[in-house]
Amino acid sequence: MKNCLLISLLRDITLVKRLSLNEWDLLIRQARSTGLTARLYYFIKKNELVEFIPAIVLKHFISEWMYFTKLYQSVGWELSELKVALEKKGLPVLLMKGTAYVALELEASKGRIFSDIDLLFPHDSIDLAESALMNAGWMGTHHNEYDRNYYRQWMHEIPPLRHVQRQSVLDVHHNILPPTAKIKVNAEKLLENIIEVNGENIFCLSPEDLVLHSVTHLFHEGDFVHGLRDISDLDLLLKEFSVQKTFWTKLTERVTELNLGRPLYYGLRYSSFFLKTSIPDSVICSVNRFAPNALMLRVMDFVFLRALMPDHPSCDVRWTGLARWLLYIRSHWLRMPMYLLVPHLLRKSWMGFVGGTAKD
Amino acid sequence: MNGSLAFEQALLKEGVYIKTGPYVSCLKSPITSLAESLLSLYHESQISLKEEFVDFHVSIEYPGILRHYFRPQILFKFDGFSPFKPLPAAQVYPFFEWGLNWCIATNSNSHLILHAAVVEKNNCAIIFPAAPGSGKSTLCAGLVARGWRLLSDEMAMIDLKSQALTAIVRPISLKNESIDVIKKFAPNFYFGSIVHDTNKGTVSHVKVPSAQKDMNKSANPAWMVFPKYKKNAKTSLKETSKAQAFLRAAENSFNYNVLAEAGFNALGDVIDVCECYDFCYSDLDEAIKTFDELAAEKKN
Amino acid sequence: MSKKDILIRHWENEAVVYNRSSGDTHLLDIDTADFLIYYLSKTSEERTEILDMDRLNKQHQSHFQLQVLLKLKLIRKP
Repeated sequence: MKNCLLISLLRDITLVKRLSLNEWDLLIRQARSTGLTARLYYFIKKNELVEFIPAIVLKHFISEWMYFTKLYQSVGWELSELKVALEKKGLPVLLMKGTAYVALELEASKGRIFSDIDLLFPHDSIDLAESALMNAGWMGTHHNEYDRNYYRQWMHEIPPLRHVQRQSVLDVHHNILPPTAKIKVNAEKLLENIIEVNGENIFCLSPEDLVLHSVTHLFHEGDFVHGLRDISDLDLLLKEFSVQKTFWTKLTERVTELNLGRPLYYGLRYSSFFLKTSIPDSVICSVNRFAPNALMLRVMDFVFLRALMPDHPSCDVRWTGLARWLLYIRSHWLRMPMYLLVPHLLRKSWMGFVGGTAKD
Repeated sequence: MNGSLAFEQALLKEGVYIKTGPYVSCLKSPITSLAESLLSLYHESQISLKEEFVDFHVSIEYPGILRHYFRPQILFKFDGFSPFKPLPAAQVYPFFEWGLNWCIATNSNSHLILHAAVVEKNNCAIIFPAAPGSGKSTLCAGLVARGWRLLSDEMAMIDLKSQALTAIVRPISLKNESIDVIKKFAPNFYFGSIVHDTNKGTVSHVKVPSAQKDMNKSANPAWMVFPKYKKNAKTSLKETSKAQAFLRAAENSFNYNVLAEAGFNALGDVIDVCECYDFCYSDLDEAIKTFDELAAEKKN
Repeated sequence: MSKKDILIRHWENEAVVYNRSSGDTHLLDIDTADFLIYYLSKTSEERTEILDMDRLNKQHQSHFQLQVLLKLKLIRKP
């Protein structure tokens, strides 16, 4: 595997003490392509190594950090607006992914570039939630009939809602995977384990479920441009949660309950490979039973070890392009059986040809 | 400095380096006309064939084999990413400058960046926030032709703690009628090629005459002036409400919103120290006289 | 919300206010800005009292200021 400067630094941040200007140049470019500049700066600051950043390089870190702090502020405001909007209909604010990391003040929220806000509702509350949110200014974004029906029938979420003034985007889910996916997740079980944030009437998935959602999302995704960033989030979640003695036990029990063994296997495997995440041997043994067969594993290693590298020419090796394309196809295959996938892709390419829009 | 042939070859292969204030860009392109443009519009000290750290790796390329030959188009890329749609190949030089504007504007949250021209005399700077059609660039070029130092014709780059303005000296961009006006006003200015039919109309870039040693010196803001060119209008300089000036400057900023509190405080500090005016003019000589008088008053 | 949630600068009879929670910036006349500071220095009970009084007496000069501040989300009903 090609040596990647960014990955070396994520594994050992003290290497900043020895970088040449040329290496700083490359590092900034790799970090920028993966969306990890602010995260990297967070590690540098946390380890009191800022003095080792040359002045001409520092402005790039500060620039990205300011952008991150603005996004962090925006998430805070959106949360308070969401509370007001949903409380009107007696609905809970239930957070997943990045917004949950912010609410819980987790390490994984630091230096993270937030985009959409992910919310979870019980399936039968979705319509009420949508109406509460629309009353507060979040409007539907997919206006054509095909897309709306597609979402309602086949997806685990409704079309994204965008706020008319603030332009914030909400992804409203009733599950973490679509009903058509090969892996079936019981959403009721997710709802049973939610935790409250500091008595604020805001809720999040439990630590184990946050980890499982993270790996499920990543290993069902088609676009790995920010794959390494997601691996970094996972690494930070595991590091922080594993301080609780019961975490690993709960995780290994929960993964069977939710039937998410395969994504967790990949998550632990690649987090450990790229970022040397420390995982107890007993957990590795336990999760090994979810591994694919040897041949499949070689194929998955082939694609993931390429696609998870920063999307930058300095990190590309032979077949990186092919690897990314294969994962794109795979993500569709995982989410949709063939009899749905083919017409969907045909329809999508037709829409693209005549200049319409379609999901994905 | 090596000959222009070496420069042209570098442009094709390893790239050429352009140093503008705090930023170093590395440009690669198969379009050799860029070499001549860069060498004639930038100062010798701003061009080199090797730098160790580069802020912006950019390239201007043909988007595909077909568009290389048939109605040729070009694409601007920032480290492989294309922020803009392709443009006709004839617009290659302005495309480079617009691309560089984008790179700076989107990567400079270490400072407060206003869309404004900045010129300086006696270490006191005027910030001209730029509403479209305000005639900011004509005014800016006119002032530079009459002894004011250019810090930038596009961006006021404000230090968040000290409010000092950073100089990012680049060729001044002029449009449409402005080109002829400045050609007459400053016959000694060097103009790059005139490019027609761009999104902004007819465009040309002007080399900034400047004392090399002062080129990258920062300056302190003393005036914030909102210019408005109006045909046949009488020259008028009127004080404007500072709170309104604050809001108007924020509206003309690339990153005021991103900077949150730091942006609010920095802009507040700038408004504190600046005299704020609305300025209406039609005659360039009179306009310059007005600002020369302001500068003289400040000196005393 | 309290006074530490906003930043204010004023010049002559106008002020600009930054809401640290929402990230919004507003231009206010100096009287509305003063009323904002006054309101934010009050406890929750005192704020409720102010709003109750306002409901009863819409002719008072502070009514308009209160409505503006509520609309801008610089203050919220407790």
